[in-house]
Amino acid sequence: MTASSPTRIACSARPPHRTTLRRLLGPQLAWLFRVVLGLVFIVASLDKVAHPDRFAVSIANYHLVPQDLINLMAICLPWIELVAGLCLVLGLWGRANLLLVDAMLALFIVAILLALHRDLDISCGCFSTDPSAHGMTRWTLYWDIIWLAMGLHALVLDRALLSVGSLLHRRS
Amino acid sequence: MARLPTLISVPLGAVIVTLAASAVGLAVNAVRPGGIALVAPFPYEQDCPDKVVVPAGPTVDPGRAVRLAGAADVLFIDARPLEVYTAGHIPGARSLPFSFVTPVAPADAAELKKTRHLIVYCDSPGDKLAGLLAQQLREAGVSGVKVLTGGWAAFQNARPGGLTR
Repeated sequence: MTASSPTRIACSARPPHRTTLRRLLGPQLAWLFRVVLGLVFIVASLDKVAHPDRFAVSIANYHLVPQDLINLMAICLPWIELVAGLCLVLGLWGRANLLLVDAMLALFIVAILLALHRDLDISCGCFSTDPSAHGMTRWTLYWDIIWLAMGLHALVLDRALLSVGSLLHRRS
Repeated sequence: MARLPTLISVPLGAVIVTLAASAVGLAVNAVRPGGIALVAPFPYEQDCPDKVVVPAGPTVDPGRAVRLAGAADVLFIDARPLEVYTAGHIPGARSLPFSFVTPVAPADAAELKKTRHLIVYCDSPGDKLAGLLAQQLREAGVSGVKVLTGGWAAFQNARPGGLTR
């Protein structure tokens, strides 16, 4: 009698609910997360791109960045967010941009944690540079953690579905 | 051509995107009208002007300011935000909102050098915004800069009819 018995074949078949779960947690969900994160970063960048002077004040409010780097950061960071967001939506260099976005989100989470710990009464500067915009709350932190979880999921499971890169690759 | 391992290519791609996007940002900032200096000229103090120490300089009292208003060789400089200036200001005053981020533009400084007496005013406690702007102007080479003691409110009290809207 060999090892390839009917029993073994039966064991390798997965129950339907596990297959559905795998599909949900798989590339399709990673694609959705990648696109959502891309849109979030595009929207978050627009006001900062338009008003680097006000964004510089938002950065300074955190009291974390050295004085000489505040303006440089206010100029560059919104464009990094915008380009990374566009690349995520289009699926260009998906993993590299997911890594970049995840790294930014991790930094934002640290900054928000420190601001909350020090009880700073500031607006987060996440989507609006208006100082009278919504103040920073624990929900600011929770949202960043949710987005980071989405980003990490996409980084691991993204298979470049519906991406410009894969379309170009198929044509060639 | 051999492909780079993912552990190298992915971080490398992230670095390349960061550098490329930063380059675009810097280029846009260099050419756009509202571009900011790469390094802020003054420390950011968000509780400003409370935490900022303004060096003492020449001042003008409100009564004298009222008498000087309209004189040919005197120009009032409004250091308050533009929307506040628009709501009401000293007749003939020029708006030059104080900013920690953007120093006085060389073109503005060159134009202001043509006027003999400049009186800067604001509405912040201790005239600190005006004091900071006056300091910026002096550092830009503008002379004859004084600060109106008591600012906009004191001027109104000294000359209630001096409002423009």
